[in-house]
Amino acid sequence: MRDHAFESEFVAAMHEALSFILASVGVQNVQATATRARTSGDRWNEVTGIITYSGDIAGAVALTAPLATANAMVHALAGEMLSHESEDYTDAFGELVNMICGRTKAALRGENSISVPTVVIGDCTGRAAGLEGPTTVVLCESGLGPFAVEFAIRVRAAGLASSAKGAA
Amino acid sequence: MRVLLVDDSKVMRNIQRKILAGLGWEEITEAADGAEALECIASHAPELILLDWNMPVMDGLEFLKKLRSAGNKTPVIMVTTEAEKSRVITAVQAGANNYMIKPFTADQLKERIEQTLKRHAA
Ligand SMILES: [Mg+2]
Repeated sequence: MRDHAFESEFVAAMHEALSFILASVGVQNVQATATRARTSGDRWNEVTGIITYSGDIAGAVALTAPLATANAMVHALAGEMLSHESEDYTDAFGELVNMICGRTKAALRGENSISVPTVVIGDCTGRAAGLEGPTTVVLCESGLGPFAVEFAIRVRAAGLASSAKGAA
Repeated sequence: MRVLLVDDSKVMRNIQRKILAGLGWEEITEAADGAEALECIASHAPELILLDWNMPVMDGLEFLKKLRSAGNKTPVIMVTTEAEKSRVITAVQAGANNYMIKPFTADQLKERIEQTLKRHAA
């Protein structure tokens, strides 16, 4: 079953982390423009960075961006233009996703771990992204262009679910 | 100053390498995971280690435990996205001398390095 209180807590933590991490590389105006359930008609963007969570929560988060946005994000972190076919490109995009997911994790209650990032260039699917079950899509705009965060996370620790519901 | 940079992200190692070069330190060895880092210890004899936590093969915490159980006292600064207080405590208990949460500015990393070396020398 979906835990909507936990989901909104997760979206708030993710949004703060996105704004903070992207601002640290000079990207301003990160805004979540819509949050909704993923539908089968949704398409993936060209560059997708994936991290899985385990512990009191379990699941995966994917940051997916059109090539132009991803190029600009990689440039902002690495300080140079990189080809999306290079290893350094996937490395840089993965590290951004790592920092965003790490900061999100720190804002959540409970004991959780994150995986090392995986980056997919080109076609991605929910399965490739490790997103199983109901998936939430957060559409975002930024100074570098649009992107989206998609996540399918379930709460495993009973205490965490009830405390999320009771959170102020 | 011989420094060992351990991070699975080459881009992150490059960022740290540039900051260290600004401090005049250019004897830098890099490792992409804990296992590679252990191999560098004997040959490179670092005087400072900047250590990521989340890495494939062997993570930073396991590397740190192995380093300390071998009696190696080289100062280690964890440089990581792991930001929870419980993680900082775990790392310090395992033998980390200092802690830097990613992302960081050049000045923040420089300050953390200077603080660590000063304490280590005292
Ligand atoms: Mg890492």
